[in-house]
Amino acid sequence: MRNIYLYIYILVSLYLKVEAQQQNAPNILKGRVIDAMTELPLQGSTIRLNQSNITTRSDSAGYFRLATQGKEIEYTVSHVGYQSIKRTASTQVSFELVRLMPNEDKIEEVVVSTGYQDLPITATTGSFTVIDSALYNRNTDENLLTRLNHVTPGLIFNKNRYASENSISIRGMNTIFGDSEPLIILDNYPYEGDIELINPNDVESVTVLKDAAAASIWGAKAGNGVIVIKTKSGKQGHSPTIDFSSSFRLEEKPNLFFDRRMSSSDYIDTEQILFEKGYFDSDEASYDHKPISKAVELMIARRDGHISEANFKKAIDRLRQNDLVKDVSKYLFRTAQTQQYNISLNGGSDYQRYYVSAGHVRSKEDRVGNDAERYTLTLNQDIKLFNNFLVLTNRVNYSQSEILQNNPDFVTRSYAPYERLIGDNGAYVSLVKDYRLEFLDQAKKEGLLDWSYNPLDEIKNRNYERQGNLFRFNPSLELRIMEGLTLQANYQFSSASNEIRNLDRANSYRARDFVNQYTYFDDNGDIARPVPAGGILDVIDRKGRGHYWRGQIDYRGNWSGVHNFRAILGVEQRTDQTLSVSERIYGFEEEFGHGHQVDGNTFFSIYNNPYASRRIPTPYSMGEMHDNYRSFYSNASYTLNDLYTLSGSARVDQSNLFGVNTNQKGVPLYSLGASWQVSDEKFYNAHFIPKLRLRLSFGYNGNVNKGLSALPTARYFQAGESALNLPFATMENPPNPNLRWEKVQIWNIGTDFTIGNNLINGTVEYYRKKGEDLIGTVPYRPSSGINLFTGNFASTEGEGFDLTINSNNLQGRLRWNTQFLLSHSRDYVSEYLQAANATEIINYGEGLSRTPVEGKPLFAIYSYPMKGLTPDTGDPIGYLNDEESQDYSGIISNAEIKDLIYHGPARPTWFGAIRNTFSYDDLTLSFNVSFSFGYYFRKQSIGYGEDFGLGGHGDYYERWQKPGDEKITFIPSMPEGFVAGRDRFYNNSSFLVGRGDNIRIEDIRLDWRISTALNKITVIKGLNVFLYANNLGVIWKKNRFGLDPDYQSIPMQRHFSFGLSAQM
Amino acid sequence: MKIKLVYFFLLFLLCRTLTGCSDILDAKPQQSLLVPSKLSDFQALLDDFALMNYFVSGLSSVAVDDFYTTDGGWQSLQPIERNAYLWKEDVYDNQVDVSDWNTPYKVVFNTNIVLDGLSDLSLEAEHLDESRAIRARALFYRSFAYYALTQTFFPAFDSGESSNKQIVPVQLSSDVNEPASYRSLHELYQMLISDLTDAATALDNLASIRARPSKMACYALLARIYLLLADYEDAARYASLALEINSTLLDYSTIPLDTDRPFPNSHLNANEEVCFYAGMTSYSYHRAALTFVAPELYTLYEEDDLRKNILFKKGDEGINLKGTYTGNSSRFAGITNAELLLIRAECNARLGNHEQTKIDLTTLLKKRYVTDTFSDSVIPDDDLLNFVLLERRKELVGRDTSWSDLKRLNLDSETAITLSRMIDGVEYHLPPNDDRYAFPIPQAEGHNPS
Repeated sequence: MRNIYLYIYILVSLYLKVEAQQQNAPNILKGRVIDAMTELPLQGSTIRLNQSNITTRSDSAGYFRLATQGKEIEYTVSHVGYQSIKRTASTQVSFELVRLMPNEDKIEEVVVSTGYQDLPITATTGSFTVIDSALYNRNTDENLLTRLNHVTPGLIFNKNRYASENSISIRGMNTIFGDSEPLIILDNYPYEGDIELINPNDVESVTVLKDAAAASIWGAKAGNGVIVIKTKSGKQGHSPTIDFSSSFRLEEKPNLFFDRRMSSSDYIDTEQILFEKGYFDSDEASYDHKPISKAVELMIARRDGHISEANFKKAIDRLRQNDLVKDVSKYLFRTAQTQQYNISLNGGSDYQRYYVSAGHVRSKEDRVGNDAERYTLTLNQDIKLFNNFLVLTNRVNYSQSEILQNNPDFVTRSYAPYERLIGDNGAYVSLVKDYRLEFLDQAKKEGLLDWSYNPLDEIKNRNYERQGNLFRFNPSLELRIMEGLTLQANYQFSSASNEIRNLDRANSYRARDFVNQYTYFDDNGDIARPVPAGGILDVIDRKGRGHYWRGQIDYRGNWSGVHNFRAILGVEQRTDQTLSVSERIYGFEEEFGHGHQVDGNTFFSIYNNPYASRRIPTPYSMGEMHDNYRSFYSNASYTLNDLYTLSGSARVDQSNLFGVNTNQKGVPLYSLGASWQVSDEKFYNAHFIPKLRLRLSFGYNGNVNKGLSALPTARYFQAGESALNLPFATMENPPNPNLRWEKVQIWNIGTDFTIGNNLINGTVEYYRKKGEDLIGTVPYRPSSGINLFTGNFASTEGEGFDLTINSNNLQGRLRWNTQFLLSHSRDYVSEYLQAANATEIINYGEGLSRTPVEGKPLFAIYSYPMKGLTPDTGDPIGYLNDEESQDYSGIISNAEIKDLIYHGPARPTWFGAIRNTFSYDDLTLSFNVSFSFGYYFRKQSIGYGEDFGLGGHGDYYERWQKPGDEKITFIPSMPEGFVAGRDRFYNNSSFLVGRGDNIRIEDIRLDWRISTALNKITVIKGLNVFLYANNLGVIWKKNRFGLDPDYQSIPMQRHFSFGLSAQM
Repeated sequence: MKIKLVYFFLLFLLCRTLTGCSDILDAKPQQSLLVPSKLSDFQALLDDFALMNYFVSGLSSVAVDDFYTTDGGWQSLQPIERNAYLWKEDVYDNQVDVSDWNTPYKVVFNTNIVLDGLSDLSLEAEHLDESRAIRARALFYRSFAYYALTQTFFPAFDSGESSNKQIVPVQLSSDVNEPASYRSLHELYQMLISDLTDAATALDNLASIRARPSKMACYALLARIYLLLADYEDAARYASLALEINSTLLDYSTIPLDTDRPFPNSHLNANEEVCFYAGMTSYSYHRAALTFVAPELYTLYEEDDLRKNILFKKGDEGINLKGTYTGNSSRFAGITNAELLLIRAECNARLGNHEQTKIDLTTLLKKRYVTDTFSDSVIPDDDLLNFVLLERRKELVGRDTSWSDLKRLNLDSETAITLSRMIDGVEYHLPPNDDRYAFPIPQAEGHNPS
């Protein structure tokens, strides 16, 4: 550590020595003019001595010299497109470095951040999309990634049935089993934490890197695209500004009634049929007191003569009136609301700038009992010392979130629809859950704890709390050694912790159930409780600490204004350690904050199941993970005459991937790019297209798959987790010496253009990509010892294009501009050693698991061809060996891929948005309409199973019931008994597949800038008030079911928000 | 001079990153992962109780006619159980993967990792004994896994042509890419015999916990295998060798009749009668309230036979099995001393050593009847074999041996029987030596590497 100080000392003292040597020159005003934003020299700037009006111009490197007289010299520097500066120089000072601020419209030159450097977009050859602050703040969601939806070409949020929440694809799929989410870079470092801990108000800009030239610099993790997020930095030369913003959002309560199910009355009738067939006999006789629904209990009582026929009918009819969904919607759900507050202070002088912010978000989720709160604090600072020789940047960020999840898991469908949550008298109803109600009464009489269950009561008795903390400290040091050469040393320390305390209080069902299960009566007849009465507290702690070091050299050279060269070379190292500990405490007394020891070794008899004996689970576990990387990277570009640019990047990533041979521990990735500024060519005279640029790039990005190893690996468990009280191990991975990293090869060709006087500007890009050495799993014959083998078996191919068009339609007092985004992305598996079989493709093809089929997209919908229903029985008709058949088991077991119908991809292949913005004076109205085409989805429908579809899907009401119905419905009849394969066949049949194409209104926003009037009265410089609504629903859909393909069971919940932001 | 600065800077950077050079890239990504390389690692793989002692298929026990269920009970079974119950040809109902087939092969895989790993280790002298013991344990588990596979998925061994067909996939190394080597039943059993004999030499007489193999366990399994091969002399010999180590029997007259759990958990050493602990894979049929013992079997237990009340409990519509030697709700699939006595008794009966048979039966039954009520006069001289087979059926009720016995006894027309069951008014039959006595090999076996 001491070495650092020594080196810094050496560097600094050497520079100062150099400085001193230039003190004693004659009266010559010397200096250099550069662009304040990009630090590039400004050739041809005018430097004028105010007194004598003598002028000179800066040379190609921005330098100038003027002979002067007198001690104090006043001069003015100006350049077209920049704000002029008037300065006074003292002849004591030997060198004037003049920074000119570009004019407003010149600032529009977009700057992309790659996370390693900031570049003007015209100096790049890759595919970048920059989302600026205004666009980014249209959507008021507190999760900053969702704000990118429908405003970023090529980026889409995946909504196919098994996609995880907030799953993003940039230009389609690039891996099969690897991690498929894009890499997130936050302030120059990868961020793998919880996105919800970042305050979107702190974000300055977001750059999305889409092709090899843009993303290869990130190497092995860039295969899915990179999203680079930069937080704000304060503005130089500005007096302090305070920004305050606040918003309030309401979210519609979910419509639980949309997903129609069998009604209570029909449910009871079906139970009656099943009862007469003896379906419930086994449960009735069960010695572990299996639960029996309230209607069936009545049927049993009638059968046994315990109630009269009249009373039975009365009671049953009362049940018929109930609807559990009504109670659930009323008591377990509510309109969600979120409030956000943010205040920030930013400013700066010539030598430093700062940005400080504090934010608070408070939300009540749509489930009663679930709340969340977040606090963030950010301090960003840049200091320039020693006349820009040394730039110190510091970013400190602290976020804290508290999430309460007391209502996560009531599955309405697990209960009879005639249950209620609150009875007529206002008391909580005891629902039939795990045991028969009469058993619970009996147990209570014998002295056991009350065993009744009610979800509302449960919410009150639960405290499931998760506290997340994130602390980031990000200092960096930049030394401008000499002209064009900068050395950087960066470090990031991040500490994240997640503390979960899930408490089920003593009165909660979960705690009472646990205590009761292990209760027994000892030899004296006294009650014994091995699990003591009291609450149950699960403690799960995860802590992560990351250290990131980076050293980089930046070089910029410019020769005669003709040759421009830029390069970076760097090395970085990262160590990420995660520790997790989890533990459970029984008999927890909240008042005193402690619990009781339990005997985790003895096998106790279970009160409700005399044949079972179990040990009290004592889940104690500890885990430690290490994610370490070392990488070398470099990036260079050369521009000739501001017309032709060539670029290249290279990177080698190494990691502690377990057991891979040393020479395979790393993977080299690179890219090459070229661009041509056609419109600046001398021969170019298409004046109606004043700006035209062509780009071409090629390269490799990589994908990481950390769960793999080339050596046989086993997981180790400690003695306490085994019934034998001996430590044990389970095999995880068989040996695989040929394991390699995945690579994605990408070609990209694009053009950026402006038509007219900025009437229209846009980008068109076409890309082709190939995934190579992709990890795939191949089913193996089980007698080999494993069922699936994981290795580099697969390849994919894809292509597509992205089109962005911005048109400024009206530019007067009424302004109207439109942004049109259109993307096409098509990918398919080009090679896979062994295709999944037909059954797996049907079951998992939509995304539940990975089932690659050569020549087809990874996520696709397949089905069994179905002709219709039989005219006499309403059974589905399929095909076996090209003949009509109702042998469903046979159809399913004999099906091969060629027997299935391939409908198409499960994810949109064409998507985009059209956003129109109108502004008139201080009012701005914008709305965004998105579209998704070229994909399919599978509609959910009824399965009769072994219980005649008890409580099943509402399609029950459209089913075939009498001959002739087969002409109007394709929903099969209720069968006489269980028919093997019938449900599986029907639910995967061609009739239930529909086109997913849809057009929807994403959002509408109205802004009103109340500035002018206020400015005169108060210190408030700008006040902006807005109204925003999003998730407004589908306006057109292609499928014949009339369903929103992305939201089949619960319609999309609309959001409405309003808020203000003020500047002072 | 400024170039010097650059030089210093680069040097500084390189030093910073290269110290700790090999360190960080060698860190384990997860602390709890390991590449098995020490003796304790290999033993830990064999102590994976949930896998290594629970691989005997419970599905074939659904097919055994010692138990039956009602129409309603049958309705609430899983489809695979319903098919097995009625001996349907397409048992698996479109399932490509069948866990009862996969699990024993996972056991084999674990043992192969251990065996291959041990042979790569170079050890000091003081560790050699332990290494040999671990190797022996691995051989035992591997043999037991193959034995269990043959009982469910392959026909009975009949020393004829069919047992010479190469049908059993055998994996002899931990390299999953090695194609299967197919053995005939004959070759397979010879391999098991050789492995078990080898293993017995390196193990202690009895293991401190019954979940682990021992010399006695090896002898016991050998006795079973020889019985399958109809080599009655060797079967009796090995049964004797095992019983010489331990022949304790539980005295049923000391067990309370009304308790729901008559036997203790036996995976450690709480049940002296257990030689090796193994449980069946679980199916809801085994513990369903409507799974009853067949009346014709239940009446065969005599009045004073304590097993009537200790193994069974009267339910509403029939009599349930309540006593299993696992001590919990899993069905027992291991080996007990009682079974060894019965093996020896059967072999001696077949070989004509009737006196020996009588002694063994008396030893056993004295512990099963009310004290002092059993007299060996009830043991017949003629038709002794059938008497032994009946006792076998009564003692080993609910275990995996029931299915094996049906298969091997069907080979002899005198002991062959046709099974029949009725559900929803339809009758189903399983004639002796029917193909369905061997459960089909799952579709998944068609995958590579073949």
